[in-house]
Amino acid sequence: MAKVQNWQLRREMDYPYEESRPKKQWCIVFDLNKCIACQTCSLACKTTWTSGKGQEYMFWNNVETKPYGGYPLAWDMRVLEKLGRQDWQKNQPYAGKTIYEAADPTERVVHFSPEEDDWIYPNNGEDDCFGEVQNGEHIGLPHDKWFFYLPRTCAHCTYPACLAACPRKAIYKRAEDGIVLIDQSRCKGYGECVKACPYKKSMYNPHTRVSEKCVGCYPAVEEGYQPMCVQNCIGKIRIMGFINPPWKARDDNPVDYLVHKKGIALPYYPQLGLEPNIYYIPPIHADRTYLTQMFGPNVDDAIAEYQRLKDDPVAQGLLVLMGSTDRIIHSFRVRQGKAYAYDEKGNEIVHVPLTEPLVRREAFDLVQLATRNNTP
Amino acid sequence: MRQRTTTWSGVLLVALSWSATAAQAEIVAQRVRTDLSKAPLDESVWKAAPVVEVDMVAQPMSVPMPASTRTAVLKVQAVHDGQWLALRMRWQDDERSDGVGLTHQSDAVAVQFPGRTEEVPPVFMGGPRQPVHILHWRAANQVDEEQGKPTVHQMYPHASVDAYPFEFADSGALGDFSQEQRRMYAHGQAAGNPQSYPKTAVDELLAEGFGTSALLKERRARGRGEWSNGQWTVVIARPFKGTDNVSTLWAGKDIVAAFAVWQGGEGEVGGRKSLTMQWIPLKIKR
Repeated sequence: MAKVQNWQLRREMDYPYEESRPKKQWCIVFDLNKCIACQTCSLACKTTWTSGKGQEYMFWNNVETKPYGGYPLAWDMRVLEKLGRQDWQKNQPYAGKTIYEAADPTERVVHFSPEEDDWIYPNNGEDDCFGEVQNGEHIGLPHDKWFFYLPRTCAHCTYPACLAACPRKAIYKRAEDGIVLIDQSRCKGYGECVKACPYKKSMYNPHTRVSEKCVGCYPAVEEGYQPMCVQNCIGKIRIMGFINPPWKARDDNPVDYLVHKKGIALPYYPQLGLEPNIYYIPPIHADRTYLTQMFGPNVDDAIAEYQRLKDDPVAQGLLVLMGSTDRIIHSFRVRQGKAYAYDEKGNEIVHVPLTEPLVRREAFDLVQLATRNNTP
Repeated sequence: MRQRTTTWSGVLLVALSWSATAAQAEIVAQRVRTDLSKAPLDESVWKAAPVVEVDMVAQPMSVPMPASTRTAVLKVQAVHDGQWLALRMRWQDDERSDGVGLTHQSDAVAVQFPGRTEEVPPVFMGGPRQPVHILHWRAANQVDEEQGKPTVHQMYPHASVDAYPFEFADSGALGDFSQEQRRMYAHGQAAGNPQSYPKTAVDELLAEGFGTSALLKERRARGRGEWSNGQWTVVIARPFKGTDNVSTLWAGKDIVAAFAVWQGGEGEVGGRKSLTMQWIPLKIKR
């Protein structure tokens, strides 16, 4: 076992391979205050990648409702149960064990094996809120009834459990962009990765008899385009970029800005120890204890910062750049009420106003000679 | 660090207890008249072949490893006809597992020979530049051979699928979509992975250590297994002349062999297996 640096845990930890960070790291930031579980992302991914035989049950991208949903069933509760209660004080190194450190000597990681039937209820718990709604109740603030949607892809972790678990070294992490892939010619379908991944994003294909996972839409990424799930997001809640570790963070890099500079986007279940590279802006009305278990002890700070956004035109500008282009934004700038997105070479991709200009239309259109309808 | 200490002390303990017990097993293959290249082999072939009980333990070298030894004893018999060597192996397994679906693993047995018969490579699947030749029978592979590779609808009769890309009831209406385009959606097949194509009951592999096994392009070994009353009986037969002169045998040659067994119903696959910790002498009589 080697000692590697996990910045999310603020400490070193054990991992079977030496630390080796990619030149650029693929990452997606999601704003959970905006997701409406329309599942367009799930179907964009499925149409592109998982409509073949053996892939019928697969959702490399899925959207589940929290707290009661999960695909496969109860995946997060089951792995947390196996790991056991762990401690973590705010702004301190993680005091508990990761799934690598807590592993039995005969295993690579603490894990559970999902049953076959656990995969066939992707919408279980959808829209089920926490707390019973009594007759005549209304919602006040803070909400005592809550739920939120959690869209999730493979996290292309810095320290993937799938890669660590494969006895054939059939899983690799690309040096150019940190995308983690299962070599389809080398895999023999043992399913160790399926067992090991705590997020359960490695999936066995019973037709090809090897395992598969989210490929980060690498063909699009190589051409400078964001993944299909990000491009097609109706609510514009996502942005894909290349994140730097905190010691190399750049303020003009959109994902560095949200994660490192503002601290409003947090990795999920970081305590498991994989240094996942999908980050979430927490839903501001969900239960804080639940959110702390999922996003770590800095949740309150992240939400407080998000609620101050109205005073931060740079962050506002970044948020309106989300969903404004299908190309990867390498750097951005906000100036005089407009947000500008730039590609790798510094050429402008798009610019967007922070506030949509107000346009007043007359009731009767003199060109078309027709009354304008106020159709929503 | 703690993990490795446990592993090595486990190995040491087993190795010590191994040498402490008496006579080492030795497999003797007498010549028989039957043509062993023709399957199935009649019961009478094995009549005079002595049954050797080979001790096995849970694989202790590399994570993941089984929590306990599922198959402690493998009974082995061997015969040859001057051209082919045949081995019959029997072990206890309460349930038949032939590995269909997401979470099922297949019962299996493997016999391993040195890749170059003048050498004795490390018994744990060889080492760098020290290959081993493995004949690997799997119940799931036999299902492929006897009944065809299972389709998704055979495995999941209630699956509901509206359409697969480029597969239409009336393909003629939309032009001739080649196999290539359909195969794009079966990633393992598109990559040419043998796992994704119909298999024969016995695989022939070369390996140079854990995690390195690769299928030989030409595979001539054959085999068949039967399960009844909590016991598997598997016969594997191979020609003396291996493909590319791998592990060449001849009558009068003394070689070594090692064995491994997987209990699919217990989730055994890959490194989760019971195996022999030492090479077992195998004498091919003139």
